Amino acid sequence: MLFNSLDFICWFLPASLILFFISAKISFNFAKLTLIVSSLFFYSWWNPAYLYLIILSILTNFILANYISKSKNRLFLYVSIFINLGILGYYKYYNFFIDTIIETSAFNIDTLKIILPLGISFFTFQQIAYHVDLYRNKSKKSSIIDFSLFVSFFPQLIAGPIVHNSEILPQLCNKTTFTFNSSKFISGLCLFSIGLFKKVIIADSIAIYANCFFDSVINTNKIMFAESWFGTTAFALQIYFDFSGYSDMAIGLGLMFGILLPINFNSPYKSITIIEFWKRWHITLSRFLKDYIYIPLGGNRHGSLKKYLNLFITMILGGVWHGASWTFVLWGGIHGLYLIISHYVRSQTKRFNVKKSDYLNIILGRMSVYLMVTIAWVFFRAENFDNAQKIVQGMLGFNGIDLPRFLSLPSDVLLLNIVSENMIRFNGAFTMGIFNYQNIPVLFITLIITYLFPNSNLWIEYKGQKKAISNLYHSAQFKSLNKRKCFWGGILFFISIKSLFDDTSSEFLYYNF
Amino acid sequence: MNTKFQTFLYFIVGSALGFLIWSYTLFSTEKNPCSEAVFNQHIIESKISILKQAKKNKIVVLSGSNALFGFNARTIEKELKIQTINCGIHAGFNLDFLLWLTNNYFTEGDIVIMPLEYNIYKQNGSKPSRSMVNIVHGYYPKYKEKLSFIERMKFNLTYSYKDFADLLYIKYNPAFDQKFIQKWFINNHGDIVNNHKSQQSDQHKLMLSKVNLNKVLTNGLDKSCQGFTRLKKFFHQANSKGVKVVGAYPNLCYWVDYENYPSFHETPKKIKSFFEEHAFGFVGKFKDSHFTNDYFFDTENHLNHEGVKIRTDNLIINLKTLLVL
Repeated sequence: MLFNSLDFICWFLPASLILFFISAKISFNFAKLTLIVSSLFFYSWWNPAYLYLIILSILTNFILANYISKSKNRLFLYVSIFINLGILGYYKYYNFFIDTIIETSAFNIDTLKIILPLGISFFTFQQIAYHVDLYRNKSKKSSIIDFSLFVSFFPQLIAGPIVHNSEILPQLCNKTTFTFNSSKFISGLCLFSIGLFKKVIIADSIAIYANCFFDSVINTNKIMFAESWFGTTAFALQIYFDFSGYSDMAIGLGLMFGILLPINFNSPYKSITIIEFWKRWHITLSRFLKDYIYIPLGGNRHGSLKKYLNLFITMILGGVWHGASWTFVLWGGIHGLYLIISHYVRSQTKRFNVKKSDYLNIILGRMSVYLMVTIAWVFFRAENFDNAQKIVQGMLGFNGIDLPRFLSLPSDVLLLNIVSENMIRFNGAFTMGIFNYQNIPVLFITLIITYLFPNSNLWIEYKGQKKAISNLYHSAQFKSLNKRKCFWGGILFFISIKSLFDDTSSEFLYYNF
Repeated sequence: MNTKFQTFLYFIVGSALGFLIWSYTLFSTEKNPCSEAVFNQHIIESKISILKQAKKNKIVVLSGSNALFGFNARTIEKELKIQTINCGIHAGFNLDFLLWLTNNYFTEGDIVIMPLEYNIYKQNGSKPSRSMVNIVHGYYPKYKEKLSFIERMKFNLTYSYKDFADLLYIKYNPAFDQKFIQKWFINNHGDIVNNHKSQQSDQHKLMLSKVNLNKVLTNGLDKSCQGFTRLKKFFHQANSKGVKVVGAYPNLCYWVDYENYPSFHETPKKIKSFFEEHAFGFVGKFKDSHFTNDYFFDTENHLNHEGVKIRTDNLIINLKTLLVL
């Protein structure tokens, strides 16, 4: 069941909310049980056959958590990691592994017909992190009910945010969590509406251009300059609004049930360095990679060279986490390189005391982040290396640069004497027939929303706005939203719901990971 | 009133106001078509004008576009010496609407052949299709009068933003619709004439390459579906007017994979037995409606000229047997 489907919004959500608040009146634990059952029902809607997998995973991990907590024996931790990664490896990476063997050797092994269970990467990582924290004495053992709810809570089950046990388990032990709180509820509803709007109105509209471009690349040899930038920008915006929309919906749903989930996006395209980008994009994944891969590898404790190597390995693994394909490995590697360069530049420019509020610095920083991230997205989205290569060649102007006719200059202008006439042509920007000038306003408006509008975290009011954004929800005491914002929240809700009537729901991109 | 309740109320007021503004906007643009409606109306208009001029004792082939791209009424008329009209329109419209458009033109002695698309049987009135909403809004707002309040609301909600933007564009660019109504050429029997293989463009081939298994045939169909209910009502009306209704199978782009689905054989049997039980009869074998991809023009329902010829010849033989000619 998708968050952006009428089945979910009109039936499942109201029914589960009503059942939950009625059961919360009866007993605290009964409310948790109701929520677990609702969550498992939600999960089984997609494929009932995989219900056993998540139940088995929860039970096995709960038993292992008991052993780890009691004995503090490292062996049990290794067993846990082995089992969890084994299951993930089988479902997500088995065929990738076999395909790679087939391509690189003379062996001929059959691949299996495996359907990737929804959300497996998310709930596997959450459980591993829980075990590691238990082993390190950073977390306390919880009851089977709390643990089951921590793993299966449906707003975050399928595509995150990747929650840390220290954020959720204390809330599940606090009896006031499940008391109906109208401030939280209305904030959650408005946040859900914003997320829905981002997904069905913005991301799905932009997706048409992105899909059209990446589909046409398969049958085209020469990708032109304007088309390649237009198509990849469309994808950069699509994935941002798709995933941040999903995250807003998940956090909003959590709030409606009284549970605060960590924020996952904070206007990443407004970053002025790649380091900042990764502090704003998929925040909970970055945090997981930092806490459970980068720091255990040694972090920055053994000199610059080791730090850069650790960064690179972490980002490669981050890429692999997204999908079983070499293009994802390369995407992670590219971001690893970006981060290394960014850290190096930062260490060198510290001496020059560059002011962060300098407008030129901000504009140049944002432009460079946009260019770097968009080029990397090509490898994330393209079907294979060949297609990605074709697109990047187009973006870099290897096939010439076509510009609108109105920009043409007299032939005696110096510019045309310097660059070959074959390099820059004034025959109109879009020569491949995929896009036309009428498509530009949609992309332009979306870029304006991305760069100039406040993000949903700022739109939803809370006390303590000055706090670091990543800590917002830990200490959040939600102030009632003002009437004006609730009114606009209602309008966004209607606009999005109306759109669901005339279209079939499209999956979130991150459902594939 | 409690402040917290007030904020919630403002949320509801926002949603309700959005709904009202949208409903009013649609109401004030009724009878203004979007481009998809302009295209479909071109087909409807040509069919209705032929029906209006037709005499008694005629044969009408009524269904979605699989009849438009499935039979040649001119050939049938020539062979059987009975006036024949191809009234294949669009499978995106529901059966109720197709009959609302055409039923008044059926008179005593007429034979109505219905090779309805499989999805028409299954059509769910609670979720109108995009084509249906567009044509009703653009040309037949009167049709809404027979709908309940909830159904009208669903109609309004189903009208897409994209089609609304298109509607506004056409409204302020009157010359725009001309290029759409020249897409298909229809003769004076209601047949499509420009579906020859040589006229197939790359776009048509691309559309054909995306044809997949028909979901109704793979998932099955039960007789409680809305299409059957509406058909029964029509059979009753036809019977009282002295109109004979005959069922037939629609064109099918056949793939061997179908054989893996038990419902692939059960569904056609259900349809045939339904017509035999409640209507005048049923013509054709299920296998005769199967064609390979080569015989199709652009979509899973649209045969090319060669396909139409084979299908028409079969129908003529079957009709001769049924009508004892």
